[in-house]
Amino acid sequence: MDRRDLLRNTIFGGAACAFGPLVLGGCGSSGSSAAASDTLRVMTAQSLSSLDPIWTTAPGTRMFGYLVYDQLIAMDENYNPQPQMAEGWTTEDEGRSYTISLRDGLKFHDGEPVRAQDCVPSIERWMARDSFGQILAQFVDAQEVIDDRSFRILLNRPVLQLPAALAKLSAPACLIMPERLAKTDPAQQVTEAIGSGPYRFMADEWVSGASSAYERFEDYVPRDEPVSGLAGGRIPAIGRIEVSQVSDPSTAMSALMGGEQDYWDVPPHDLIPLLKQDDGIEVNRRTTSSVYYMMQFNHLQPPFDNLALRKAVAMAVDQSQFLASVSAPGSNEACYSYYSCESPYASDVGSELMRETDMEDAKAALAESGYNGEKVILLATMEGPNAGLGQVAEDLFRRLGLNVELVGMDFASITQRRTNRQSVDEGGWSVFLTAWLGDDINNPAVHPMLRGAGEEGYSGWASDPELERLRVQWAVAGTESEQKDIARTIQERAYANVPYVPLGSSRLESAYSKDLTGIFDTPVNVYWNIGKSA
Amino acid sequence: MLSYVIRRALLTIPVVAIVAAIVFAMLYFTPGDPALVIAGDQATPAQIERIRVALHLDQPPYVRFFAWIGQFLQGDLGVSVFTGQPVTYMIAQRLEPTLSLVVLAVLISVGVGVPAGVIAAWRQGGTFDKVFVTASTFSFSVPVFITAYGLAYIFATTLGWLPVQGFSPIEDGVGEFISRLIMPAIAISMIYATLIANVTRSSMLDVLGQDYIRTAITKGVPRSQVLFRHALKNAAIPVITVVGNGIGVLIGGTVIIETIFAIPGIGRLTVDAIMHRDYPVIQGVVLLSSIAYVLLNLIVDLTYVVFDPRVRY
Amino acid sequence: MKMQAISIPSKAKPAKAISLRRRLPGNPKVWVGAAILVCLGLAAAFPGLLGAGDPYLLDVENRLAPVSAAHPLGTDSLGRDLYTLALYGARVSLVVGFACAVLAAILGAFVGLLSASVRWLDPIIMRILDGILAIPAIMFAILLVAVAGGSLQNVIIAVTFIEVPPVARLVRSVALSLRERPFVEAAVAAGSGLPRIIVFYFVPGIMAPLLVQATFIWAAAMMIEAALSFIGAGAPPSTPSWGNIMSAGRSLWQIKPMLIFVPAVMLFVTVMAVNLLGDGLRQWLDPRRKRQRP
Repeated sequence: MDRRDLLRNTIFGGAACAFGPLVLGGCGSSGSSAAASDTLRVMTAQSLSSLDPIWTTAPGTRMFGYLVYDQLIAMDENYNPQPQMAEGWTTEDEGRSYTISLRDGLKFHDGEPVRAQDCVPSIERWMARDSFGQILAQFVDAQEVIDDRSFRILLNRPVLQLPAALAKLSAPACLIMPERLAKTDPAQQVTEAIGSGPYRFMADEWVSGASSAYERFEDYVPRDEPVSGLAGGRIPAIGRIEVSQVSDPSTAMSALMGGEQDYWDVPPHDLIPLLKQDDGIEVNRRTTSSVYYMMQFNHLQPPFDNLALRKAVAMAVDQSQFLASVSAPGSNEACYSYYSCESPYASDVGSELMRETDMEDAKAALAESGYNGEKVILLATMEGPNAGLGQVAEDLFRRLGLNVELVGMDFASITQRRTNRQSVDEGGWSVFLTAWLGDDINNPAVHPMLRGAGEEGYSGWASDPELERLRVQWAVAGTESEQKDIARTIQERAYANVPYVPLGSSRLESAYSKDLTGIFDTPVNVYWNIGKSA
Repeated sequence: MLSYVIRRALLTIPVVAIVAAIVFAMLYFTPGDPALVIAGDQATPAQIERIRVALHLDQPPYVRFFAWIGQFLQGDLGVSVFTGQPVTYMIAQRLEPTLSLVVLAVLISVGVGVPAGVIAAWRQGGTFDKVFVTASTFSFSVPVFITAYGLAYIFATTLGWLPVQGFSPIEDGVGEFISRLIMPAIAISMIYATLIANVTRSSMLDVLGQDYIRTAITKGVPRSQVLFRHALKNAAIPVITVVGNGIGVLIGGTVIIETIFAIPGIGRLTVDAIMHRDYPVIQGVVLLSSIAYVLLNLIVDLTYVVFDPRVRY
Repeated sequence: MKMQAISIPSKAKPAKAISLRRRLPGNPKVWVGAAILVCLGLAAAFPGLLGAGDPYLLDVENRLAPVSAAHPLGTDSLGRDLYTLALYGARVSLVVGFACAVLAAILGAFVGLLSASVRWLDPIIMRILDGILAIPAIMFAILLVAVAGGSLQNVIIAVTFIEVPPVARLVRSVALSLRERPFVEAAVAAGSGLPRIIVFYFVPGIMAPLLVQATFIWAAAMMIEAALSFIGAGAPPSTPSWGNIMSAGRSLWQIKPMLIFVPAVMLFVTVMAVNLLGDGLRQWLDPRRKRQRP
């Protein structure tokens, strides 16, 4: 226990007991339960509002999903799909048929065994929601249950990427739910949390937007392999995990330093130097994936239905300005690839548009674009680590000569507002700023924003049928070099059409108590295998 | 007396109805469609339409308003758009932290404000009174979040005596309960306590100037007895009124303080719900907190009888 | 936090018609408050003369810069000059406070007089005011701004809206008590119409309490604006307001306390000046003062 903690308990505990009995009629025991050493207390700025990790991509729900649910196949640290719930899989018919068998002894939290009959509708529902899943669905002829422990996916052509799709780690990941939950309408939320993952969700203790608690699932059978990325043994090392949503960073920092909390998933970069000074705290780049920032245009409404104007903005963007506002020097990197710069498909193809131009070129391009002073509504989050981006963009637009209005909101409100396709006078929008983890954008199939599906696609509704066709081609390509070529062509098309402007990347760090053991590197913050020494 | 109580209680009904109508009307005219939120990013228009029908969003506003009122009278405030939980459950979950905070703040404010006001009035023009008057102008001018950060800086960051976040229920130990609530409670008490103290002072000044008090003093009744038994009882009505009216200030304060100290209460629920446009939650929280406020002031009105024998109904 | 200007009951019933011209303020509080406000007002009107630059100018590479000749108070998290922001913040704060005070006083007086003059409207108006008052003020303000959109104009409208009911109630009670007074009854008996009564008796009668109440609204409005901006529910973040500076500085205050300290002190001094002015005005205009000091 920290010295400060001790001091507080003695001084304050004593004082409270001195006057407590008079005022409140008794002096109870100290609030810290006996099991404190077996509890991991995690702070995050993300809220857990929905219990359906297939329905929403919200980061708080993804974290919940990985604790409570399990995956058939998981990505190891080298991004190779490895069996997780699956014992393994076999392919027949030149990759037109996959047979997946389940490990022995898997159980859901309600005690029921995990069966193939649960996996099939779970995959079905995931394919309805996820963008990679939707590509996959085009090739799935049927799924057949062979017996309780194995099932077969039949495809109308060979799909090399099927295991990678099922192991997809960005949200929504393909998590397995019991049959009755998996049969929920994909447009409606599942409101129960019965998974087969290492931790059980304590539904009674959930206060949405404030806190949630998890307890070890005693019947969980981890794999024997050592942990590697999200693959390998997911061991529920600690008995209980309590996650609090702390939206005030100063409060969160004091709580971590004072020993009230054990783990802070993403502290703002400005506070990192102070956290590093504390002897009891470890600051670590635990998450192997960088975060990537982007500026998305609304392609349906003026002024950004105008390609020339989108190009003018891309010319004006100086990534270093954006990065300086959200990350510390040395922890960020310009990235002109439409894929994450850690991806095998990363390249600078086509990026001359951004790299070899400056503000003067941009202003000249703007003058020729036919922009007539139409109002630009810019949506950006004003809380959390990305708060600075909005104002940097506003400043850029103003200098460029756009009639910009910054609308600051929280992320949840942006996800709502951006679905509005109307003009800015009718509650619509022109540009929004967002961020994804590198893993969310590392190939054409998972990338949610590198799309050309028009009104059917992601908010922004860029239209480029050829790009959509290339995405599908990529997913079914036979060889790696073929995939690389397709990915390259997609990026060229992207720079020609500018669906969005990449703004660069930065590395995230996590801060936690030095008492924690078993911390391993992972693409996203997950909490299995972590124990406590004290 | 009984007929007064009934009449007074009946008067609260139109007030609550008006609150309900205002909140409903405001949300009705808000741009943004709850069905879009529920359906999520990748929904098709058909899915959105299905949800809209399920939520009766396709009905005219008056139908929805009366349906909502009807449900409310049966104790049903609907289901949160974001969490899928019943609104009544979400509110019930967060009631304890906020109630604890408000009750503690009222205890502190009355406990400090009333004696300070009495002493200032008794020694009008004296040193204590002068300090009191200056301090009250001062504390009226400090925003609650500044007080909160100031307290957190001194007692948590520098001295390390108190924890800075969270809530610990009273049944888990009084020490922990108080140590987590004391800073937020003091922060939201500042202005409320000053208000109570000021009203106590001026009300006491009125009473102390009256003949029967002078008589009592000349007759040799002990001063403390004169002050607290005779004068304060007669000066109590304005003080009780401000204690009741000022509860609104406290509830407002919780909205900010719960965010700073990460207390899972009603205030934070409200801010989150407003930011997320979670209509059923906003409607429920605003309606219930208004009802609480109206009922509290009803009780305050009725306590006048106890303190002022002249009030007869 | 004073979320709503609450009139202190025992002082809220100065029922006499007082001519403002007849007594000049002798209370030093008025002069101290007014002097501070005049200085702040001048600084807010001509920040350029005091060396302020462009409050919108970002310089991200120079963020969180320490105190220097170019930046007397350093820079904020986006490299804006804190000194410049603080001066422009005075403009936003004073404008919001003053606009709310004037608007709420005018609207409140109108509603209050209407309620006091038209008997059949009175119960309806009073119930609506009760309804608005029953909703906790800051909650209501956040809701209004969320519904209407975060702009300075909407913040002013929201704050005005929640401050109108207390003003209307005050005006109504003063007007009602005036109506019972002999000289008003005499005028009515002599055949003066309602408009005449309102203009010649009610309006002069409510001026003093209205003025006092307006200064308290002024102070309350500045605090509410700051609170709304602080939790991110106020004016757009690029607006140089004290609340916005503090909101952005909130996560950085252990690193750069100035980001909270400077706007907090500015806000405190301004609110205090307005409160001093209000207190002084109240003591000067309140005829009960003499009785209280035997």
